[in-house]
Amino acid sequence: MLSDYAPILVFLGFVLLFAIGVPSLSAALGPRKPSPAKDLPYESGIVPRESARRRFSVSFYVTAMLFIIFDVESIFLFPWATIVRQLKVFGIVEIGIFIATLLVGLLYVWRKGALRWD
Amino acid sequence: MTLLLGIVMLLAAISALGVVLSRQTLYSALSLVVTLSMVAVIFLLLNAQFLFAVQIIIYAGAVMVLFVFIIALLNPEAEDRPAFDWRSWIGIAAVAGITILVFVTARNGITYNDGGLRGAQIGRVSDPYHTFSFPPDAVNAAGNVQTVAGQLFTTFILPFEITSLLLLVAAIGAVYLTRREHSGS
Repeated sequence: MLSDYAPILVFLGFVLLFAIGVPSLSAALGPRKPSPAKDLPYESGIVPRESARRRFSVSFYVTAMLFIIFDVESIFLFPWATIVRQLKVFGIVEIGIFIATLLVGLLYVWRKGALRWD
Repeated sequence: MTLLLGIVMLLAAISALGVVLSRQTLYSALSLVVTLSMVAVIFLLLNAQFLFAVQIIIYAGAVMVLFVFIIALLNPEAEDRPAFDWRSWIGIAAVAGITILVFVTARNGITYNDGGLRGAQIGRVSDPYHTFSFPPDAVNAAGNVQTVAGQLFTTFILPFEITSLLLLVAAIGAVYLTRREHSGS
């Protein structure tokens, strides 16, 4: 039972080996010529114009929050889908109420314009 | 098995310490990803494959995205950390005390017990029509997700439907709290 996960353990071992091995090989074998330009944060090749430490728009937060809410909703749909045939009409009605409740939320969010990015 | 569980628990504890002790908020968030992943592995070792997947998708995925966005939104600096004085020790003592209490009560079978009196009592109250015990072999034969679903959508139908209300409140709250004021009031 637990030995079913042995390939994952081997995979994780290779990941760890790679993650430690490649940077240390690079540090050991590569030439090192530091310069101020090389220490700059990489920003698609252009020179950074301002500090990255500034406040982001609250829209990111709303989007993440709404993502979690509908992510949790979809999580409930997965176990429901596995036994939908046994539950028959009861299951359809049950999940219908669940989705309808959250649909009210989606409509509210939509009407309030939280899905628009401006 | 027990050794593996011990290693995973140790990694969870170390990364949890990393969450608390990191100077940078983002490093705390990354440590929390490790902690939540290790808790997921504990679920897996406890034969709860569905909870493992949920833990990865919801916590290590979605909730961590929210945390990172909040860090970006509030932009806490390293010097914003509260000072470490005698009040911190009260908090540490409270957390340690409650943790020890939880472990002691769990060992005594108050919160869970495999086949003991208390577990059977909880089983009779929560699910009088079905057997309360779910041995690993029986659950795996029926399917882990199917077993969880069977309980969730029949025995625990009311908590399930109330969850939708909880999510509805969260959605409305998130939009309401971050709305822009257009009127002058």
